[in-house]
Amino acid sequence: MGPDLGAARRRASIDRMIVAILHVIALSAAAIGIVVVDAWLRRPP
Amino acid sequence: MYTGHVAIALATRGVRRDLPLWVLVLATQACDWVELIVRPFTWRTDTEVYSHAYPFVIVAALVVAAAVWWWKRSVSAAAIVTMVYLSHPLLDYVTGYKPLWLGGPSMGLGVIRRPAADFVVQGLVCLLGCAIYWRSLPATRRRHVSAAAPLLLLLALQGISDLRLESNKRRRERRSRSLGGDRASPTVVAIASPWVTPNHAAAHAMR
Repeated sequence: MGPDLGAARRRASIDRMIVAILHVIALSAAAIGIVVVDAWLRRPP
Repeated sequence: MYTGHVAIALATRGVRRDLPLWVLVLATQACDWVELIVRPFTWRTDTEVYSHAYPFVIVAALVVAAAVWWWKRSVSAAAIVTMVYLSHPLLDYVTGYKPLWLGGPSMGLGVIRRPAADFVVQGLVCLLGCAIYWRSLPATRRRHVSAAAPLLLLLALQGISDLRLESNKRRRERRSRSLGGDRASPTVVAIASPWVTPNHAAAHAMR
């Protein structure tokens, strides 16, 4: 494996990690929004 | 699976109103958070084992169940949260490609390799989960526009995710063509997209 391919793999690994974090954070943000909507929909009349 | 996990939490909230939605959401997403937390401390190939495979996932689910039992003093509530937790790796075997147990093989249907099919599968899970949730709302609130918000939000997020997958898939195909062969090596495919794990890449290259 040449040095360029090694660097590319490391960069891709970091990219994968960042995307995975953003992926989970985006879904968590949506879930927080849904929790808020749920509380609002079930508020006492 | 992506948004389908939250849909499972919503469906559970629809049938168990004594369990707060945030607890169910935490339980259903916990595997992915564990994966992110252990990732810096483990080898790339082992990360999913600790977060999604047996026996680790059962140990984590039992810890969460114990916490719920201590809080609610309800065996059924603890059992429900355990099932919600364990639904995560099971659903991931449908859309993804995950290790079964420590040292065991990775397996799964890998629907995620076909983004359009992935959107249909996860969209149906979202539709079903949100329908069960919607039925549990007070009758006067069901017609409110915000009652549709969870479904719309999940479908939008899933659509964005699958569009990104499709875009990356096409980029990989263009790269493999530009490299002069019909089939790129797994290494080349693996570094082409941050959405694809080496296992996915190898499977993709072999197709």
